[in-house]
Amino acid sequence: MHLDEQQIIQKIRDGDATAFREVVEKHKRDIYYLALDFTGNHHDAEDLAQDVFVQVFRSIQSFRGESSLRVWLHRITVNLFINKRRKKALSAMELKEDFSHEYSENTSFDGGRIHGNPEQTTESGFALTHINSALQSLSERERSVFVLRHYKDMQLKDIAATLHIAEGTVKGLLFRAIRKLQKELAFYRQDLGLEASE
Amino acid sequence: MTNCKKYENHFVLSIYKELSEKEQAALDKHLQKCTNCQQQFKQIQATLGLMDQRQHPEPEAEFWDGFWGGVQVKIHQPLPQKAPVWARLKEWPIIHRLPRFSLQIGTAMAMLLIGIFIGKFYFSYDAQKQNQLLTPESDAIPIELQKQTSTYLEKTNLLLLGIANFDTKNEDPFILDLKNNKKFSRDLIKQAAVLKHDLSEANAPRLLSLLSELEVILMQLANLEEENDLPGIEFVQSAIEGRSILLKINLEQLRSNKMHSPVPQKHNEKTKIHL
Repeated sequence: MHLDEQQIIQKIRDGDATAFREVVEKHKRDIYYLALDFTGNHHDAEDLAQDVFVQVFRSIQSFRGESSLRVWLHRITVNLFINKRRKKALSAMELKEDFSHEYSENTSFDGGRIHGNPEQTTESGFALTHINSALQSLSERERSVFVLRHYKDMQLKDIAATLHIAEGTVKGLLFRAIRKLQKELAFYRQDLGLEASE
Repeated sequence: MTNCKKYENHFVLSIYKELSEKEQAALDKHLQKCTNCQQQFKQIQATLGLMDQRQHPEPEAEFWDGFWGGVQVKIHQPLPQKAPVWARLKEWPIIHRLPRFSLQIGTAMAMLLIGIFIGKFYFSYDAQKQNQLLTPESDAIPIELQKQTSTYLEKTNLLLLGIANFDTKNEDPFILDLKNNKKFSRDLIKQAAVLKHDLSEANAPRLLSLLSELEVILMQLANLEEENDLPGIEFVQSAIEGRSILLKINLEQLRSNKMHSPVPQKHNEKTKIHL
């Protein structure tokens, strides 16, 4: 763990609110977007992301510092998401509807709210919608594994430990997720190199 | 082709650098020879490359500004109360995964075990309680005193039994021979005073307590009118019943019998339980 991080954690343990706010401000985007990947809608993602930091505040004394703060935050996010899902706070139906609605709304060209690419073409707008829809087509478990491995660069054994499942199961979920994504994105044959196989 | 199947899952692991050096080398060697696998490998790479292009919708600036405030609010909220056990049990994921019949069997087994436990506890408790009730108060009471007490209790029992069984509505009070019974009661009160003194020295609080209760009832009996005092008789009857005097006398007699019985204790206990 980085020395600065250790100092910040110690400050939070000593009750320094400014240090805690510093952590929130530094990681809020990363955690919010991870929560958005899991939940699929802004409202639940906001709720989950805030809960992650509340959890950090409440359990900072038990943080052993064996991993980086970022990895610890990711683990908390996954665990909280799983707990919330168990409590059926986020029902599967709600998730599906909200996810497609949210992304189709936010990624539409007319909406113009895509971060960092205000001049995107209609074509690329459609592509992004498809990519998000493809991710949405995965089951929650497949999506969790894929997001953690692909976007958060978490090792398979760490994902297994975080999700409390066998590493073999993680691999199986990852393979299945990628096969589904290939199928969902088959529309983009040229980009994916599928043209040559025909 | 059989060889190709073996490498299929290695494509993904290779992209994520999750293969060992040996596995990676074997895959590289295979890919050099097999164009079909090369094609598949490229397709997976392309799919994942496309997924990299994914962008998150950016929330409004106000959202980020208010994020810290939201966290603060949640921190100051009281912790939610824990749900009841049955509600938490429903959230237990394995419950949902188990087939219905296994839950039914599990519940039946649990009920059976609870039944066995209750049965065992209840009967052993009952036997213990009976045993305790039948245990003589103290081995330190001199035998002579025990005999005196036993005789006293027998006499009192006979007297009170007659009063308790008297039907005030249908029977003539004459048959009770109240005059003699009153005199008999007074004698018993006098004997009680002597016995109580001796039992007190022998440290027998239970018998002392019983004799005190008997004294009260005998006093009531001794103070009855000599003729037709039906309300007085009913009063004594209710005192005998209310204090369960006859039952207490019987128990003491059982204890006394148990002490003086030559039968082995365990066998004796069983016999008495059936009484």
